[in-house]
Amino acid sequence: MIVCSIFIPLALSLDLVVGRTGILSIAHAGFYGLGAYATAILTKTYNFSFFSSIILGVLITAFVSYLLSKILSRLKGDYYTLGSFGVIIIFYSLFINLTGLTGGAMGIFSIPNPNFFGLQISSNSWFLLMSSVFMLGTLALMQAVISSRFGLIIQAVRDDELAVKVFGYDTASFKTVVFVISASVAAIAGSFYAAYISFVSPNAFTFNESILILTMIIIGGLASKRGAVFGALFVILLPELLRFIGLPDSIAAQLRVAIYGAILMYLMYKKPTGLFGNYSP
Amino acid sequence: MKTINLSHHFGGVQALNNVSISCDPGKITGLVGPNGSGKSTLVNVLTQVLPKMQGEIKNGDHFARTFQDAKLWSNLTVRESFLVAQRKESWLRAIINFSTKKSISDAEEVIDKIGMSEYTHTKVRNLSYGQRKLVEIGRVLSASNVETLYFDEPFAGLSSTAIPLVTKLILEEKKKQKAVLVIEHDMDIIRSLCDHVYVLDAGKVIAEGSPEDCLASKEVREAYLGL
Repeated sequence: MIVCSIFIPLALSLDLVVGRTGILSIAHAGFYGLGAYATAILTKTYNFSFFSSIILGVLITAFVSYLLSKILSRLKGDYYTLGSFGVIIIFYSLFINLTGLTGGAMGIFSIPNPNFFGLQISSNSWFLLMSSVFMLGTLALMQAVISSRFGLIIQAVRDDELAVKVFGYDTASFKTVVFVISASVAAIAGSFYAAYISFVSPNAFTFNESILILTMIIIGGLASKRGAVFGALFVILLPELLRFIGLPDSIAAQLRVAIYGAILMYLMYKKPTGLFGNYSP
Repeated sequence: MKTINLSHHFGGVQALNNVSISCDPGKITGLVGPNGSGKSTLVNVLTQVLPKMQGEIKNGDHFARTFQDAKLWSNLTVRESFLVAQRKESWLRAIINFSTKKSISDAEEVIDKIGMSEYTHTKVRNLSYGQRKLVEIGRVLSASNVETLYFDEPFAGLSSTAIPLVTKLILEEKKKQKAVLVIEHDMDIIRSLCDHVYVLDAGKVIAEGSPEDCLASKEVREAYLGL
């Protein structure tokens, strides 16, 4: 459940970019990783508290995502996606090569447990409570953004950006803000992940991880909070389900990927909007 | 709105060649000409869809427009489309603002005007071609703080009952002292609607004046009607 409460915000925040704004970014795992490394490095090496590491991680991620958005916004459609692919490669390369800071391929071990006003959060139930607050906060944030005029405008940008521009809107700034909000939520998810697993390594934040999060929102349905929540639950809980029906772990792991693929193919044929989606590109 | 010697080219093709026109408040200006004469290019430059290459545009910043091929927000409802079109905002204002009762009632007033009340909450993608054209026109009528309205072939594809409705709506904008520019091929509509007409051919203004005088001129009949 803790992993679900981390991945649901990841899916919700990616859906803001892909489903609501129509920008197909595959850089999401990079921002997730940035938050995770920020917490790992700041709490372990510099003795920051968990919460101050989250704040600093978000600030760093917001700044980096702002700069990247400015660069990527010059690209359109497929080229944007390819550009974001470049971003995830750069993140991976930095995570693996800045060995003095990130521990390189070995990663960072023994990340301290979060500390909340002197209370050490070491039990799963406390951690679940904390990550659930984060998940509910993200749901509330997404609801607020989508219900505002901003939410309407980004969806109009998704449908026809030029038609929004001629009404005088600076559409590039709207897209940048969406990207920064989404990346910041991903960074917080990364911080929770690092604190929960107490270990980070570059392999957790690769292109594959971005595709996994993308799979969640496509299965659940784009531009739908319900879809993002369902998609994340489904993708995270499927391996448990396979284990529950008695399949050995080694087979379940491989079968899981094949099942995701089969479901995606089926949905593209029969229901391209996903299960609860309101939009298909 | 006024242009002085506006020019635009696509590669080696001169789409607009020293075009000087004006569009005055409380007047409906017609823009006619054969296909490829530069009418839509002119409106695209005036509305910053295309960059201005040469020449000057005066008082042209506050506008709303329709497109020859309707460009709509197909996953929004009719009402949501009008709410977006109502007023431009920065991202910061937009993120802390929700649609107010006043803005919703303004949007619904326009929906009522275009006769689409029963489609208020219908997604635009589920409307017919004619209804979509009406939504695009309604979106322009929803826009506040605009001085110039551009309609690019607003009557194309409309039913015989919708044409008088749109004519009436455009005339209402004239009464509100808006400057209106209409691109249209139907000369009867041009005659009944416009106060002043410009005729474009091969990117140049070849005639201007009242609809009757302009459309009667020999040069225009040769260029436009092939007579």
